[in-house]
Amino acid sequence: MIHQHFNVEKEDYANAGRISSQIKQMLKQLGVSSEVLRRIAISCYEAEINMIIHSYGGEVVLTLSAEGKCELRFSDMGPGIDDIEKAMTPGWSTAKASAREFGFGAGMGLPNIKRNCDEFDLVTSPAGTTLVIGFKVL
Amino acid sequence: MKASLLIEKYGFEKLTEASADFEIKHAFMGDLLSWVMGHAKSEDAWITILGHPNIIAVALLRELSCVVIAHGAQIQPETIEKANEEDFLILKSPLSAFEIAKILISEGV
Repeated sequence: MIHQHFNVEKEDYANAGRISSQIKQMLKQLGVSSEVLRRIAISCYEAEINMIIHSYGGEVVLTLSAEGKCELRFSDMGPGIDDIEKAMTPGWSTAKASAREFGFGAGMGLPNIKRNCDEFDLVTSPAGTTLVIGFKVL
Repeated sequence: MKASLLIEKYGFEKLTEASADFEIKHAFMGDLLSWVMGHAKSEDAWITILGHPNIIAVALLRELSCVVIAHGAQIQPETIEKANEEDFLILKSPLSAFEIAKILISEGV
C-alpha cells in the first residue's frame, strides 16, 4: 500500500502539472502500463489545474492498494462548485480571463477526467470540493 | 519528416538544446491546454501560440515529441529553461499554424 500527500496552492500557475508529473513518474516506476498512465496523467493534470484555478488551495492524496487500485483524492478548501451539472458540460467554464490567457478554461476539465477514469465521485459545498477518482492499474 | 528539416530547410528557430534528430510522424494544433490533454496523441508535434511554462508540463505528461511555436509568438524564458531541464525540443517560426501544418503535410507527416 502506497499513500502520499501533495499540497496545491491557489493560483500557483508556475508549478501547475508538477504533482501530476511526480505521480506519473512514480506509477511508471511501479510498472503501470502506458495506457493506464496516459489516463491517470490526463485526469490528474485536469484536477490539479482545477484546484489551482478555482479553489483556495488544498491537497492531493494518492493511494495505491495491494489489490491494484489507484485512487486520487483532490480535496480543497472551497469555494465549491455552484452547478455541478454545468461544470460537467464540455465547453462550459467559469475560469477568469487571467487563466484563459494561459490557455486554461477550455471547459474540458471535469469531462476529460470523467472520460478517462474508472471511478468518479464528486462532492461539493461552499466549504470545499472533494473529487475522488479511481483506476484499475493491475 | 525529421524535426531537424524544419530548421535546416525551412529556417525554424531552435530554442532549446534538445536534439532535433527524430522523426515527426504526426502533429496536433491547439491553444487550449485541456483540449490538447484530451485529444493529442503520444509523440505528436504540437503547434501552438502558447509560450508559458505550462505547455512543457502538458507536453511531457502527454509525451509529445516537440512544441512548435507559430506566428513568432512570445515565449517566456522560464518555458525555455524548463524545456532544457527536461531535454525537450521547442522550435519557433513566424509562420501561421496553418502554414506550418502545410509544411508538415508536404513533407509526408
